[in-house]
Amino acid sequence: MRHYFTFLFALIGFSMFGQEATLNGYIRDANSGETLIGATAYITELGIGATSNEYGFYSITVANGSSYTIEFAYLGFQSKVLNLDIIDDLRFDIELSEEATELEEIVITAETEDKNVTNIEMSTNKLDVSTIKKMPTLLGEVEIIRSLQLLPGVTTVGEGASGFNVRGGSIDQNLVLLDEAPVFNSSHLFGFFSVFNPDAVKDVKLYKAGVPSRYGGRLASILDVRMKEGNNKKLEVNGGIGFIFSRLSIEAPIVKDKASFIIAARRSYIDVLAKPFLSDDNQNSGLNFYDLTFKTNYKFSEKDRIFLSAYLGRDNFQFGEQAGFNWGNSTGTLRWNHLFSEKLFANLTFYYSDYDYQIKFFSDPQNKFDWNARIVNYSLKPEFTLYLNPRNIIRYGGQSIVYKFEPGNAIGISEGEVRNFGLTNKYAIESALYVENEQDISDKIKINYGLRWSHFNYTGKGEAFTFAEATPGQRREVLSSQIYDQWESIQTYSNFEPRFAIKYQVDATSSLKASYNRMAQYIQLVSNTTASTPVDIWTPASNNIKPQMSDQYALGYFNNLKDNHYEFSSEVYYKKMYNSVDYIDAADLILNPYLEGDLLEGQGRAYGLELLMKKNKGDFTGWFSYTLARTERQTIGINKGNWYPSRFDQTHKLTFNGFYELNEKWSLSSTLTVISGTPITFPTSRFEQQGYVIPHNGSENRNNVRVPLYHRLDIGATLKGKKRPGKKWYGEWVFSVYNLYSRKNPFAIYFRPEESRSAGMTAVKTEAIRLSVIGNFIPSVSYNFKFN
Amino acid sequence: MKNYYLILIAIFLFASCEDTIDVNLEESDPQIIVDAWLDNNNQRQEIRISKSLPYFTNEITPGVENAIVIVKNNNGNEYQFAHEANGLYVYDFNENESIGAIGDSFELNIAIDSKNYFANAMMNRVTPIDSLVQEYRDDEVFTEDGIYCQVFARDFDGLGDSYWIQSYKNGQYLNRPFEINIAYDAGFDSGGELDGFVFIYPIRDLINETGDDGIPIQWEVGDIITVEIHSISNDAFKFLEIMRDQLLNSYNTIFAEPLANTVGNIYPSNSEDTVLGVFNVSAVSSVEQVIE
Repeated sequence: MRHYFTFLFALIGFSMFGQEATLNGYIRDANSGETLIGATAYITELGIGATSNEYGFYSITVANGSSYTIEFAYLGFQSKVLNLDIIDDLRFDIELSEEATELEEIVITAETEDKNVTNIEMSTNKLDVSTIKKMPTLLGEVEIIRSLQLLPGVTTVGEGASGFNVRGGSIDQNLVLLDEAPVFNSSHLFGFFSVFNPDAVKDVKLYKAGVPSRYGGRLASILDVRMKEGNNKKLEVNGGIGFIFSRLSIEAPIVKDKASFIIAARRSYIDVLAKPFLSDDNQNSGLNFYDLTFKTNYKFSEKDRIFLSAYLGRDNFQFGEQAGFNWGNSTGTLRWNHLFSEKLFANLTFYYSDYDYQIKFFSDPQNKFDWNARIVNYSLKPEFTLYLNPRNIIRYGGQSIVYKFEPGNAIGISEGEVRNFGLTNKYAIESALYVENEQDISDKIKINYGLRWSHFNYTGKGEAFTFAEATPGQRREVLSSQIYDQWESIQTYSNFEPRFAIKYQVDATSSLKASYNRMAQYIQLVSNTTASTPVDIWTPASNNIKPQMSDQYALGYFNNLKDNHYEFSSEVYYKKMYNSVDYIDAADLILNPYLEGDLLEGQGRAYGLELLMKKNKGDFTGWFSYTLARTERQTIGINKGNWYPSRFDQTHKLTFNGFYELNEKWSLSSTLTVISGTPITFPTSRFEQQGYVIPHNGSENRNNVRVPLYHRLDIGATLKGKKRPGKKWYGEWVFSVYNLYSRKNPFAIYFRPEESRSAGMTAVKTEAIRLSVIGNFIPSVSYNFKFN
Repeated sequence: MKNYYLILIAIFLFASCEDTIDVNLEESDPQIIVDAWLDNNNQRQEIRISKSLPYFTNEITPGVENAIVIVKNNNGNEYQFAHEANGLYVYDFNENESIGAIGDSFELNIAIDSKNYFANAMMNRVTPIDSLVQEYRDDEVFTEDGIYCQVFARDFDGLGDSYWIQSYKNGQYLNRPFEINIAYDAGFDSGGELDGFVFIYPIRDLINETGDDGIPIQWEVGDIITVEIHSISNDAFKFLEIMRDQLLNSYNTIFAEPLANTVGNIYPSNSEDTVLGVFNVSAVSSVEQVIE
């Protein structure tokens, strides 16, 4: 640890230069005071510019004592052009106002118009919350994760499944960050709704490849969700009433322009509505979910600002006195932004994140069963951005995460006899150091190169097992075990993760980009079901589980047409994954101290082509995306050791998203999704045993048949209230129909005996059952309001 | 099974979204099936030998009629099972006679044409039933009010005892997938290590009849309930565990696991064939009551 900080402080010493002046400051929204992420400051005379970072800070270094024309711009906002004399260093904060157009134009990405082409980033998608809010909804709820699934390369095994799959990765291979704290389960009600309250979200960014070295810890993607800071100009209230949730958020300045807060809450109310219809015995039963999001910030000097954000969410199921079941995340993030100099921006983050669930059967003190499990982690993360000169931006920093895994605390009382069959906790420390440089080599070539060094220490206190060799695919028996003290190292791993990206500007409107990244992942979700369940547990890499690794190569062509009205991108990627986790048949994954003996190690590969065509301007906007992809796995002991398609392999995926501004009052939207069926394992034959008809897969081929094509059309319409100067209340009605033509899209197909009670020597009929999670059209209405 | 309530929630949320469809399956060659679950209880012992069928062939698997089927006890007794019909081989014991005693080991030998198959099993100890309790339960979610039963028995000390608990309503064997009730020590599976404990609650309770939605059905006054505990081998337990998971998998809706093949304990001695099914010899303890 000591070396780590010595290294960091040595790097800080870099920023010593002469005969130069640095223009720097923050870019904000004039209306709310929110900092703008990804706004630009562009020096016309020099043809160079800078982009504001996640905290709205920009810095650009030029020769001292010159006068320049500088344009500050952000899409959907009025640009400001100013002449500034940059003598010595100049701190210049600026506020931009939203464009006041006749018709409210929809902004697809809140980015500079041609950023798609000029930026070095590839395989990233940024979704603006205002765009997400325009999409047709399921039951009236604005959904961040479902919106992501309309992007190329992002899929799900089906409606109701939690999480999302990126370029062939499983759901635990996405690092979902809410103000930098990882969210271990991003769903409410299994997978129908995500935990993010759209009223509190400012920015959503997904990295599918070309991941900069400042991020790490997961193989497939980084979903970086940033919360609003809270209006620091005036009180603002947002809310909505829908079929499922009611939401309310309040944001206001505490000290104008210095401190502000936002607090946002949502709660489902199916249980409240159902209560009068339940019998007395069932009054304790119910189902609800809620979340609470809070953030505050304080600027205590021109150079220092702190942010405190917190999230708390929970899903509750209660079945009378018999059983209760609940789960949820909580996170807390404390951040301190500090300007060491005009060129050196620093942020120190401390976060806490926790996911836990509880299951209780019976409340009789003589007979009950209490079970809970948890993953807790704390992390400290210093980050530095050095705006060395307009051609080099160097970022460096580190991170340490302390994990505590409680894979299962379980106490059973049977007829008064108490038995503890919980599992021992597991501990680990994950650390990383990184450095990266974003460099303009020439007007045409820009590169970002970096290195991340990650280290994982699986420690006591705990018991580590050694397992015997077994036939591939069979359970391995415990040979020996050893007890370790608290923080005593059981197994360590370390990896260098090189990252590289390059952009070649072909001409003013098109560019070629390529990237390579290696990622390492040290913790995984243990789950062998189609959709992950809330009781799945996270487990660390250990003496028996190697860290997962991946190498991804991506190549893309980006082109903007007709004055940035149209944006086109095409990418190909190839990803190889190592040490993937799989499971023996009939693995015991829950409350099993010898879980590691039921795991198999395999490898994976994913490759594909992704096309995206966007129309960003005009009354009609939207995008069209197409993905051609293959995701395969190979594990000794499964599918006779041959490659097979993964459960979420979808060959073709086509989405269309359209928005149309009909007039001042009405805007329309629609979403069309067409996806190839996912593969599933079907039996070949049947046999009988003691009267039961058992399915058997004689070929042993995994995922041998595909379910039929998935397609769905959703439509939406928004009736907007009048916006008049001085009017404090603004309301809008949102109408949606999900699955307009009632397509019964199969989530899966099962097999079972037709009569589930079989009698002696009679032939039992077997049938195939199609499960369509949403087999009907679902209309909804919701009302959203804003007061300020 | 560990996720019993999760299954109930899933059924509650998704059951209405199901319908029956036609699908085409891969086909594979027929395999030999041996269904050989013997016990020390009944005078008549049966072994059925047949061949597997494509999954959607709605027929009884065709019997193998020319097999020679012999069970040997390690005490030297040898029983040749006689073919009755359609692959069913039987041996009728006299009264006061049975295939063996707890602790005996057995070998099954099957010859079909020129191919031989064998399996080994031991008759394991079986725990006695302490009591069968009838109780009235109030209306709850997933429970209608009425009379329900629980069976109490204590697992022996020492890891690895496994049991198949079977129940009958008025003489009818309760064999819906939800009614499959097996215990490893006193718990659901080997991971729990519930050694020497009274059978945990859901196991005590799974002797009740269930509907095809898995929800228990109450007993009527005058019904006769019979509960049997069969000692089984760990091989047989593993087989039944996968069988139950596969038969219940269709109720797991979005949380289904991939199809897994059961693993039997019958092996070829002079070919590469795989044989489906299990040879097991149980000791049985039982109790019978009239609901009142």
